[in-house]
Amino acid sequence: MGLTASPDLTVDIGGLTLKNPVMTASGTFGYAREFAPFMDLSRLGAIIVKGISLKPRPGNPPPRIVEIACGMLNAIGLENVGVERFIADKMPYLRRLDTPVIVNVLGETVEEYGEIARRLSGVPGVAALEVNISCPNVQKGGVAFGSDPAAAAKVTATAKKNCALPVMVKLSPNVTDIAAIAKAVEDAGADSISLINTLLAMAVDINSRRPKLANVMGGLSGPAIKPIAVRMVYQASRAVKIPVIGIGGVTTADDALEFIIAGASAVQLGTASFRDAAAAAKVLDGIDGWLRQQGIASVAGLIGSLRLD
Amino acid sequence: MLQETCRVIRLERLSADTWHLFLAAPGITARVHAGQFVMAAVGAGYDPLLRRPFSVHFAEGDDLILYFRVVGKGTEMLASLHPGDRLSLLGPLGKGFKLTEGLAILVGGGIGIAPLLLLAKELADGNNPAAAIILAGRTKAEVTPLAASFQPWTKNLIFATDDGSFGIRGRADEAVASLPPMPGAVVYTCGPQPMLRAIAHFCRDHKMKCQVSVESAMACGMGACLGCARPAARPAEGGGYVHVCLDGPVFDAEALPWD
Ligand SMILES: Cc1cc2nc3c(=O)[nH]c(=O)nc-3n(C[C@H](O)[C@H](O)[C@H](O)COP(=O)(O)OP(=O)(O)OC[C@H]3O[C@@H](n4cnc5c(N)ncnc54)[C@H](O)[C@@H]3O)c2cc1C
Ligand SMILES: Cc1cc2nc3c(=O)[nH]c(=O)nc-3n(C[C@H](O)[C@H](O)[C@H](O)COP(=O)(O)O)c2cc1C
Ligand code: FES
Repeated sequence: MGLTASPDLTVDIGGLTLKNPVMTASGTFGYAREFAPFMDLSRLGAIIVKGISLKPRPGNPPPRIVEIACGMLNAIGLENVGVERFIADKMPYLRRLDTPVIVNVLGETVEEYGEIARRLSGVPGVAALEVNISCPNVQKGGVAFGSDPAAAAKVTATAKKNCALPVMVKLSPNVTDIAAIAKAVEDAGADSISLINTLLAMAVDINSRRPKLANVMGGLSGPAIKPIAVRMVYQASRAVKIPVIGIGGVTTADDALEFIIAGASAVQLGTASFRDAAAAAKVLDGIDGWLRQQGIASVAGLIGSLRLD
Repeated sequence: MLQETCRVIRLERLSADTWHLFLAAPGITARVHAGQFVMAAVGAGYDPLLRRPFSVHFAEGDDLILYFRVVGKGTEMLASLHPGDRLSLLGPLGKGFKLTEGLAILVGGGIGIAPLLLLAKELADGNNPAAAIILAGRTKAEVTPLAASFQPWTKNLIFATDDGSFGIRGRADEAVASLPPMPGAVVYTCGPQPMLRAIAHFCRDHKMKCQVSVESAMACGMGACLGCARPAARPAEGGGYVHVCLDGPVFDAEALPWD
């Protein structure tokens, strides 16, 4: 075994073909420019930027992050410069990259999701939207929409109606029936779904008896959540026909391949980039190397190839 | 900014819980300025998961020195490194001290002494050696091991200990207050929050410029996570926070609230 030819790494993620299945997750890769010293950004399958809202948001009071065993909690609270400054200040750099830029968006109301989708539609360099209905760290919007199939469908349909871009909907793991939400979002017109966002979690300082995060609760990410994410990707991908993007603890090529075999068409790296700023490039190299070693010609053939016999 | 795999040259125990770690880090050493920091990837596994921030204590030639205190899992692992081991550093990160004209007074408390040694050297290299350096700690055992490395950079090295076992008895801010008046002097300081607050107030009352190096929890150290927020004194447009890893860790004291 062993192929000498380069494996075909291209994947379809619903209205968008990526040169490979490795993306960077929203909120963990800044606006990409921060990582230019560590890798050729144009090698990435796609870049997903920090969540953007209609108006600037200051974010939550500190402490906003705390480390736990094999993971971290964050309650950033979607600090961002707002869509107008994002377009004016961040897009000029991003659109020059030879990589699709996917903009993660969040609204407090269904109407806001529509408005921000309309504003980003047609902005040069924006390849798709990732509609965040799963942020656990904001009072309004976010997971409030992601935990109810009808509300999730409404946000999806509104985003679709207001832009000509492919729409990826980012789902929350903080639900009992992920298949029902995935199905509702697909029926409402989503081009793809991505999951999981962080798991609602908490940590307490025993000496002060206070929560370790000022926001009391936060979202758990990192290697600790990977098995839950793999399970949910498996369930969601069985429920829908649209592509599913796997997120949650991806740190190595093996992690990425695990998601792909379980049903993901592509993956996103989040927390891993904090430990190793070049992690995404290494995962990409590792996937390529594994495919060669296994004599597998294309990554697309691996998607959902889980054996249950 | 780079991610550099550094070689451990040696570790030196200075007191019960403080250490010097000598590393060969030519890339970062060539670029670093006083007050900047590095993120060290301690351990090889997933726990600890995140890199740990440390000020650059000193840098010369290829050698970079960290001065650290063991407080938990990550720093314990740092203290058990061996010569020849590898350690990945991300850096240099953040905005360091701005060397400005005027007499320089350096004030470090506890492990906050860390960024001041490189600053003392840079000031001396710029022909403005520190007019005074105050090193404050809990006990004599904690501060005396630092005397030799600071001595070459100033004519006025002052120690202060909580228990009075060495130098002045009292806190760093009390030691600052005991200095003769130095018109136009600039105070550069790093240490525990109550000490920084007292020094910021003292400088405001005496119309002295003051630069402080502060801490926060950090995940990335480079502006990607927005986890290192601290309230700003004057909220800028769109946000009431500064980000320690990007806007700091060194700030003009008046950029932060102290009350
Ligand atoms: C910009 C910057 C520069 C720094 N420079 C230095 C330096 O030069 N030398 C140095 O020794 N340390 C420095 N620190 C602090 C250092 O990063 C922490 O002490 C370290 O991350 C602790 O890691 P750990 O795994 O050992 O502790 P953890 O296991 O993470 O924590 C153990 C215990 O220590 C407490 N703790 C965590 N961080 C701190 C902290 N910053 N101060 C006091 N207690 C803490 C925790 O709350 C917990 O109770 C710096 C921090 C920042 C943000
Ligand atoms: C610091 C931080 C900030 C995040 N910000 C966002 C965000 O703005 N929008 C979003 O949809 N997800 C956000 N996330 C969630 C990640 O995109 C990802 O779904 C999650 O971290 C799980 O992946 P991981 O385990 O690889 O980190 C954030 C995560 C972290 C750790
Ligand atoms: S530590 Fe991540 S932005 Fe400052």
